[in-house]
Amino acid sequence: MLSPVYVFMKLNQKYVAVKEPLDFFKPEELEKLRPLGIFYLPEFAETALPYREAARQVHALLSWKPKLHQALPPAPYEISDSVLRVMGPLWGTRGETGTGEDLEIEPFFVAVFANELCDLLPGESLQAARDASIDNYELAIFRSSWAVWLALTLGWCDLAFLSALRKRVFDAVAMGQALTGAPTDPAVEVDELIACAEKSIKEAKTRALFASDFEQAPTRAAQKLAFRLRRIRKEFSQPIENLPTIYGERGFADG
Amino acid sequence: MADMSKSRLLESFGVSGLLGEECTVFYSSLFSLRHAGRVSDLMIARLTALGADELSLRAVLLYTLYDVYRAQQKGAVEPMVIECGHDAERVAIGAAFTYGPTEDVKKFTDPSLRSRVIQGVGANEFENLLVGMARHCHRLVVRVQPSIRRVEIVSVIPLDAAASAGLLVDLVVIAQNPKASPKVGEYVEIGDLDYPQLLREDSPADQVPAPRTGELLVASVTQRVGKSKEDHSLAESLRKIRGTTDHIRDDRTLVKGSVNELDNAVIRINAGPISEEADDSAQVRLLKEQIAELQRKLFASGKEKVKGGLRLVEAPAAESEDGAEEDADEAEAKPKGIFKKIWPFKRVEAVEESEDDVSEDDEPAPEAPVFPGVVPGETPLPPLAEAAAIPGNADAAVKSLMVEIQSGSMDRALTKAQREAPDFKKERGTTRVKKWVDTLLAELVLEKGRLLEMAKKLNASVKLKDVEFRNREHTLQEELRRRDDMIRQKNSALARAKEQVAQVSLSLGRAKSAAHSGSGDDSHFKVKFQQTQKLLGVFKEENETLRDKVEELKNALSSAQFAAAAKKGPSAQDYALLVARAEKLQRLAEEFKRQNGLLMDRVADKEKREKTGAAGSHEETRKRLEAAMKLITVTKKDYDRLSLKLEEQEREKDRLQRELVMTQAEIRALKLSRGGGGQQSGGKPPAAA
Repeated sequence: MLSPVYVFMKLNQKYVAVKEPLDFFKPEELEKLRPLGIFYLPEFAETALPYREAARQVHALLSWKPKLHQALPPAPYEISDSVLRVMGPLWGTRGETGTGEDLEIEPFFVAVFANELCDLLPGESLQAARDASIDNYELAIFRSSWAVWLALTLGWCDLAFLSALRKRVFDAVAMGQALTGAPTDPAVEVDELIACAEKSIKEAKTRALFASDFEQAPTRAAQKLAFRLRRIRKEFSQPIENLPTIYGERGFADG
Repeated sequence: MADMSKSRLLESFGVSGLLGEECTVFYSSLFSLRHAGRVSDLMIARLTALGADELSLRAVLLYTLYDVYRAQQKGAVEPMVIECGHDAERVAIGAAFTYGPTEDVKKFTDPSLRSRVIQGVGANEFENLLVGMARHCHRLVVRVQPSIRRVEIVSVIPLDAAASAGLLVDLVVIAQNPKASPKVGEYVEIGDLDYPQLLREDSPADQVPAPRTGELLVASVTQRVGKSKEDHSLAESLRKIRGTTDHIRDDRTLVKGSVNELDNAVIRINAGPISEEADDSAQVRLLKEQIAELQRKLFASGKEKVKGGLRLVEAPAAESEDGAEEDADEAEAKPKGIFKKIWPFKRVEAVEESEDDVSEDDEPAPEAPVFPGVVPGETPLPPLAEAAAIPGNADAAVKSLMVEIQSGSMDRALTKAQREAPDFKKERGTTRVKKWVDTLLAELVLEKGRLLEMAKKLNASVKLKDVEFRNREHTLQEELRRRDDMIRQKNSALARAKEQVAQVSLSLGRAKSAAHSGSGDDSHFKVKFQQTQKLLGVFKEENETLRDKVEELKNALSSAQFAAAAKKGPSAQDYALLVARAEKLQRLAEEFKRQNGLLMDRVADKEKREKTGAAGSHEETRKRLEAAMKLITVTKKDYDRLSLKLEEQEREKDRLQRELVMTQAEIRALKLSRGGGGQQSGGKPPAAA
């Protein structure tokens, strides 16, 4: 979910939260809540919409197949360029854009983005993960979404691949399995990328993700990410104040 | 000369290990070979600028892509990352793949592979491809990590082709984990390159800077995604609620009726039958917006047409102002000028076509034609165009356009051409000029006919669209009417529901007041009260019986005491004991009396209250009942206690009687032993108990 979900209790004249962000409804829960009629989301949900909108744009870019008589399908580098143009403004930078300030983004919004972009995770996996451990479930959501984000940043623009990557990381984290095998295999860039995601998000409470995490990393994927993020910082990023946050007055998290 | 054998780190994947520290590596990720050609074009375009042999680069790049794609494990969802790096001396092209589990690893790790490739004799398809690759490069590195079935092929080409010194083939088998790739000067995803510039045509006529396709794609996608139906349905489902989450009342919920007022705080998610209405209203809104957009397009196209017509009108006036200049090179300017004047209509067609297809929006718009005397962007709008500016008045605009075409610049141009034709004849008098003039006139007439035909077609299409829009509007109005009816019905249903609620509230109030007045259904309490009274009566009777028994016992005891005293009965100790018991029984009897009195008082009080209790509330009745129940409980307990005591007294009485009989028997025995002493005293024998 984009935000906490509330229902209105008429007798008490109060809104009561029935779902937390990142949670999901089971069919029986929906059936149970059906008499209440309407779900309410706080104002915050609207602030997360740009990320969902961006994901839709990326989805449209990646799934666009023009008819032969209309236009030539875009080349991978053209798609990669356009995807970066869509994703770039979702990064925030402290200080003026184009300076050496670090880029940052909150994992919650990355999860919103990935959820909209990729195929939905299977209900059984989600439920099993949530029932096993809420912390692991959230960590799995964040880490898998971050892996998708990084893959797109690297120019891996294929919806099937991204969905498979997300599911792979989610399942592994939710079940507490090793993601890439120990030690990480530098021969396969996908494994390197997953290792990067793992390193950036060590726990579900990770507050923000930074581009500088990749600057000193030795792997090829991290080095490539670092250079790609430099372009974002230079051309597309926005001041962090312009971007939504889950913290503070308009957010739902303490801090 | 470049030393091809030089490498920084051979046991690491990627091209960086074979290049210098300051190298730049371009890379791209492919999921199919569909665009391999375009990717290689861009890479080659970037690398040939360094001076490398283009043919060798192309050959190696395509061999690499082909080889990797063929050898890649089938069904593996993994990007095929191709890297092209360069330093000051050489270019390295590499890609890696994971071979299938059924593949024989010896195919890749056979040490004789090296010699076979150098000799140009491959043993299998993989080696044949390596041989093909080796023909165009100067060093070939095959890295294999059998533990994860990973193979990488890297070809190295010197920038100075003349500096080569034979083929070098390295087969690196990595048993354990490979070393991390060494750092590079820069990694560049080829999408970050200035690809429009790099892929620009060589023709000098096509040197106009082209926009980046990425930008155009984003703009196109933003437009498409922003206008999707889903967004409209989302916007429709937005609802605004003011205030805090505490104690928000229903009447403070504000349902927005316009998409423009979406500064909402709360979003409604459909969870029931409401969703259908929301979807429908969203659909209606979407259709409305589509109509509005089409009307805008129609108006814009009409405006463009009018502008085209204006240019035709304005052109002769400009010619008269700049007549001197134009006369100077009239022979060349005239045909050119005419085609420019005709151009706007073609452009309108082009615009119309492009509007039908989003993908063609990406095409750069042709530059607007330049007309003598008409400043671009300052074309004034005549009343005709203003009339056409009213949405839905496109028909009038098209009519005016036709009139203008018929009586406008085209006619004037024809007239002018006819007027000037004799001058040409006078000035030149050659056959060529005559032919030119005749051709020109014929072309003009043909062009006029074509324009008229076009205008008619345009008129017909505009009418058609107008009818279509009217039909749609009519449908939408019907839909709106239907929706209004539904809303009215719902409102009346709501009013009915409210009335029902009011009636229920009223009846509830009545019930409450009836309960307060006591005339209601408190028969239950009455019954309980009567039962309590009956119980009290029973207890009273039992108390009376007990009192009688106590009296009887007292009497019996007194008589026994008297008898004992008269006949010198029991000992002084027994007597004291009996006295104490008698006193105890007396106290108990007094206690019974007191309890009985208390109960009588309470009963009397209740009876009194009952008589005067018409004003007693329902609550009081309940309290009284509870008090009565408590009293009953207490009385019952007392009754039990007294019953026990009574039994005890009965037992004591029996014992005393037995003692009395024994005492009498003893007395009698004493009398008998004294020999009739008893008769002398004249006493009667004690009666049996």
